[in-house]
Amino acid sequence: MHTDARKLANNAKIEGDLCIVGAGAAGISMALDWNNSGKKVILLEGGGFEYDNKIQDLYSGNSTGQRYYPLRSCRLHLFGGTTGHWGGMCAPFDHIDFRKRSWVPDSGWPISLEDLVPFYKRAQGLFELDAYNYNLHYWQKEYPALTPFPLDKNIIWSKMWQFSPPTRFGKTYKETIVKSPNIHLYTYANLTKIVANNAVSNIKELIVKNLEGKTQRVRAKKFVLACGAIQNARMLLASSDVAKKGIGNGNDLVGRYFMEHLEIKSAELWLKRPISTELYIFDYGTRKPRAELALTEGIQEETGILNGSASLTPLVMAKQQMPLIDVWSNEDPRKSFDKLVANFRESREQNASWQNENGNTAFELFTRMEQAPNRNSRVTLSNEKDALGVPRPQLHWELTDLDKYSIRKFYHILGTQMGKAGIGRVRLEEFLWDEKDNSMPDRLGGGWHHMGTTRMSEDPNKGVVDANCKVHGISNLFIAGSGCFSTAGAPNPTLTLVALSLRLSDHLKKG
Amino acid sequence: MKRRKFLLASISAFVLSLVSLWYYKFRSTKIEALSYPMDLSKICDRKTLIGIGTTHRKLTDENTKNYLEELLLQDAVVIETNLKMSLRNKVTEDFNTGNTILIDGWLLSKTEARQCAFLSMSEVN
Repeated sequence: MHTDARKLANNAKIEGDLCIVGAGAAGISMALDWNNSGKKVILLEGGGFEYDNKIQDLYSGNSTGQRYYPLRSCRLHLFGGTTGHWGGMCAPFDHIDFRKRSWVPDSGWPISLEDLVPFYKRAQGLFELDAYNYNLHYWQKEYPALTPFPLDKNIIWSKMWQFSPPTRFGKTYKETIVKSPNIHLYTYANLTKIVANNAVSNIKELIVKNLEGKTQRVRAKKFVLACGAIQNARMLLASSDVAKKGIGNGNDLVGRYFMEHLEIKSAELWLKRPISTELYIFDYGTRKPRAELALTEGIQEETGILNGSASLTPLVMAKQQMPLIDVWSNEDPRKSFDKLVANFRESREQNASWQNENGNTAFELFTRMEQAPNRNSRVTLSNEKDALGVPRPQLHWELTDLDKYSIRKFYHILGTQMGKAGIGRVRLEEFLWDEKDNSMPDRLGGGWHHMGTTRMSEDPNKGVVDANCKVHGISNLFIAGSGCFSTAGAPNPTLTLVALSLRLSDHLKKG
Repeated sequence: MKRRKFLLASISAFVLSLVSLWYYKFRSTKIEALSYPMDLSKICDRKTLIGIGTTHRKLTDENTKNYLEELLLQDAVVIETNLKMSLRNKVTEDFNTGNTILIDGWLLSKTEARQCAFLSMSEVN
């Protein structure tokens, strides 16, 4: 069922069993899991089915610290959420991502990879992916040309990726949601306040508004915030009528530990002979799996570095590509997206030699690495308010020395292994040359991956939510999505955030 | 008597020229082996190799030809035909033991960096 909240009476009451706020990847995945369950599920979405500039304005905010994308355009405020422009790259986290690592402060999740595997398997289908198998040997049966470089397997391994079409949740699942007998979707229903009881132990209701001036009150037995890491933190902090520091923020953790992926061109790989494997090259226009070069747990522990991987792009093509942080600079997400697509397309078209039949010998090595958890990297509230009267978000993106050290060390290790194997040589980018310099250049980008602002820990002094994504101290408030991540992991978060959301969904079904 | 002396002188001159030729060839081959790292030469052009060598000399105290030759020939097989391979093996061993250096961003074996430095000295001369 679908209702346009602009057409509801002012001060109308909406009631249900479960209320999910946000119809992006996390919210829609959970709602679908409750389809035909017999329970009344309220799904609130602040936007509509189509892009609307005034709605998108509600996401505007500022950032300080390390240069970042415009907050207005790095998320989409409509049904389907940011799946409306995501790239489709999927891979699960690694074992090490969940471990407490002595060299990574504040690392360690209260759950393990094994806890998420059943939900990863379910999430695969939502993204129209193949079987949940990210083992190279499995894919080599179908694609024999996926041969790895002959490198020391104790040090370097091939992290496999699968590619969603990419699934646009707003289009793919709209009909199912709208025709569901028990899911009640309300569009143009923007959360503006979370109302708790005086003891801040229970959520009584949510206040939602729209730009037409209508207000509605939503009541449910359980509430799930699924608006994304930045928006979830923003709403908790802004709901300070009873809880002066914000809901769930008794220990000053909401909004802290904002994490992104460190994405930057970091080195070049020069091979002695043209590449003869298809394993590492992204096959544009197809969904063939490919791998990135990653370091094993053992070498990460030995050298004290973060988890990450490096992708290969033919250098002739890569040299034409601008840094992502420069490409995605427009406040209008549609324009930024178009510029991003054009950046890639032009570099391919103008350099057809990258498809050299004799093979390529020179490649850009592009890093995708987790950011070390840093409590000073955070989302707070601005003094400025949006059109609905909610304080805008203020992001301060801050990195630590471990971040740059990890990138530098990664390529030293890779270069050494390439030399040992007699395959080629690695040339590091200049920003990595000086071991005493831990600053990151302005051209560092992120993956538009927002994580950690309501992190998970069994200890309320260290996390906002517990192992079941329930907000500490509040009996009926849960958070879905990558805001709950304790660490950022090496790969893109989308598959994992949906797996985590499905796990939460199962937990909620148990009552 | 005069003929014998002439013959002796001719043979001596011939032998001397053979030795000189052999020495010159050996020296050329040796210099080539010292100057051109086998694997890196397949990746970098001469200009880049010289650039690496020049930077290496600035960053280290390895900036005379004799010293570089001494370092390169340490533990290497000096017989001309095997010198190239011997140095190549040294390069691999450098990567195995972590005997590497970063020059202009290139993560290199110290041996091949020295070879580039030797080449850059040859250019200077």
